[in-house]
Amino acid sequence: MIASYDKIHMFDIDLPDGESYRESANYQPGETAVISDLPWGRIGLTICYDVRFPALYRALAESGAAFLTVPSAFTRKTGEAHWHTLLRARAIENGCFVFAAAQGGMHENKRETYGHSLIVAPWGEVLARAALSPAFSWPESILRRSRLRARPCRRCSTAGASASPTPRLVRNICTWSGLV
Amino acid sequence: MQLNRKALFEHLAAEEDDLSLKAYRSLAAELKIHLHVGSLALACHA
Repeated sequence: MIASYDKIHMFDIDLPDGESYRESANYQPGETAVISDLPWGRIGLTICYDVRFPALYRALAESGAAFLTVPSAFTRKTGEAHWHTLLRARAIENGCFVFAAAQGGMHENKRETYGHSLIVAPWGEVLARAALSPAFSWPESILRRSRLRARPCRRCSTAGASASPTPRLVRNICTWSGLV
Repeated sequence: MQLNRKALFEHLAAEEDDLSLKAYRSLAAELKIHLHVGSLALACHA
């Protein structure tokens, strides 16, 4: 295994339609941003709700990440409202490619996720998109795309989330495994 | 994200014992590819 990342930001929200989530009730948040060097560039690992916290992505980009991953299970409601906008924003503001595989469809307890996996270029174009069904995409031109890197802003904090005071028993991780 | 705590803990394994993670590692080695797995719920060591 090349790298693994423990999700930093727990999905603790109450939606206007009554849906409520408390990921922190069961999961222990991570404390550290993770990047990994791959043959084609440096990649930053994040998960789902992390995408709403731009400082994490800026820290990854400032550490040299050219690619950002955001595997997700957005709810249908939050996905319809924010999914594309958040991913394109993280790509544009950091000058990085964003890979966002996403669960979609109906789950247990009538929970519904949004799907719409995306690959976004640093300029904000959506290079590949899926709907609710499983899909495979390979944009041939991805490594030839131009990148626009914003200069680091020294006034902005890039501090990560603090550790949870309560011990919990579950980790939510994403990993790279394979041959170097 | 599994919302049902009982169901979550019934199928939880530590990183070294997780069958899906073993399968992904084996697949990556077999195909000589990098495989991005995200995300997995794993049991923490108490």
